[in-house]
Amino acid sequence: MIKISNLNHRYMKSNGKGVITLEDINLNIEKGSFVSIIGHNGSGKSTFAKHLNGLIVPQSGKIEVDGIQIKNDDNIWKIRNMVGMVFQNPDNQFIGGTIEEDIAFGLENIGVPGNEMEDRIQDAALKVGMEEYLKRPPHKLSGGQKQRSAIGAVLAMQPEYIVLDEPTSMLDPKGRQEVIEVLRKRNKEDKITIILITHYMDEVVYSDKVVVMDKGRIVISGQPKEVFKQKEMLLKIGLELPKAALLQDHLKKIGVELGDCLLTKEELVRKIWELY
Amino acid sequence: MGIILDKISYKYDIEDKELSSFGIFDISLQVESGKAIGIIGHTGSGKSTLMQHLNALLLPQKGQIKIDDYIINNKSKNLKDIRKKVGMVFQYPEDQLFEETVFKDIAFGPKNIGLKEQEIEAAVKRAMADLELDYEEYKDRSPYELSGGQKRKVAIATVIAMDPDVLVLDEPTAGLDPKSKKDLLALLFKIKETRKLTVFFVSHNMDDIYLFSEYIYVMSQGKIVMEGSGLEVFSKTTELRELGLGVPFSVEVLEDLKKQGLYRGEIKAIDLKELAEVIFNLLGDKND
Repeated sequence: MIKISNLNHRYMKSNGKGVITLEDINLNIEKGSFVSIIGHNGSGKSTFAKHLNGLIVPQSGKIEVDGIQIKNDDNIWKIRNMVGMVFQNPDNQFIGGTIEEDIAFGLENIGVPGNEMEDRIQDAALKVGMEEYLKRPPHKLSGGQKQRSAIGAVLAMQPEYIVLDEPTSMLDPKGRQEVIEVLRKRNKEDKITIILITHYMDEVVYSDKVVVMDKGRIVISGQPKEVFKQKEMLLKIGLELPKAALLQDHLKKIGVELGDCLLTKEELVRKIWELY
Repeated sequence: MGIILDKISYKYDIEDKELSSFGIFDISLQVESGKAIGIIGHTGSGKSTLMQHLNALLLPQKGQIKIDDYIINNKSKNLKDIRKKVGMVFQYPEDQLFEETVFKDIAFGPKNIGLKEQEIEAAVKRAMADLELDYEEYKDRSPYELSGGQKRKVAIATVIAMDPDVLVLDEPTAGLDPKSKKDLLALLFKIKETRKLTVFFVSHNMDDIYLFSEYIYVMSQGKIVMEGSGLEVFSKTTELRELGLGVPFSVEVLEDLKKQGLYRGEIKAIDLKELAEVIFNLLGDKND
């Protein structure tokens, strides 16, 4: 579990003014869960994400990853092996000349022996569906393939947790779908904890927990159905509802009551079928 | 007046055989001034290559482009006028901001084309007003200190300040949060109306394309493979899916309802309000 208690963060602007970016964050991320974090641009999501593997060390408050506290000490390397990170722009995170080299780079860094490396590369590539592309250079891959490779490189390190900061925002719809499918599968089959930061409401509907951030604070946290019930709040802070829920809202206005908050097209169609 | 592309082709000169088939091939189209044109196609279908021809960033190897009285062909030289006439907003345009203040960044283009100081200031003020950026509040601020959404607006203002007649928007809202996205699109199409611009709108979001385009071109492998109004294009769901493209949400829902035998009407792109009415009638008919 990642346990975050009373986390605060501020930074200094060029005019010397302090700006609060995280305020009194308390959150438990259960092992094996799929957690989504949403919030408008500048709500503190990315700053928060960078805390989870010690890229930023807490200024005040505490974060523990499986009982190890994140501090500026030798443990930070242990934590970075436990918590992998994937960023928004796939082009900024490739080091190797081919996908294989790229995955190997991380493994070399943590001292994985040569004979073991081959297996881990193959295994990771298989898990993200990139096994046929290992010899390819990154520039010959689509956006979705690049992000899947980046996830593969992280998986090869065998982390317990993966934090992804808007991994789909530069991808086309097909690429987005590929990435989300890979994440859901790894979460289900390998029980890897996924922490997904995103702007796409339709991507978070399958999460175990949705965390909504605004002005550096957690304003709502709960299961997707609970969170998306709070429509006014979400709209007020610049978010929206998944399309199915929006449609449900329009239906309500003209007198068609569909009951509990609907999050996916499938749920919606099933509900209409029941009423028909 | 308008834009006429007459059989233009552009093939990338790449040794790599896998990539050498990329480009655009024999594209002809005619767009009336003041229209909003949606361009869709999967990644690598040639959308960006086509768009880069509209302001002569790429010159057609074959064919010619006519924008009002200007002609662009492979011999075109004096490109300054055409660049002023056609403004381009690329993906993540804020990456191109470089000046120390918002004013200087927006003034850069107008200054470059030799406007007088007063004219420059007027152009900057007008562009900022269009983007709903308060002049006094923002003019002296560093673009780097602004939020993502504001930075994006400043970047778009740098293009608008050139007073173009044609505006190319290539995924203008990528990476923004839902509300900023919605607000910015509404604002851009308001600017289109007030400035009477012709807009080319490239997006992967089919709902946005449907909402804002008066006419849509679908590209695949460097060619235009389908065209028509939103209603026409988005009724061809099988073809769109074969091209690796999505369809608006309403189309997906109506399709599923049809599959379940609940809906017998036409599969068409409509907005959520209309979709709610269709479902209302569906359930109502049953109760009668």
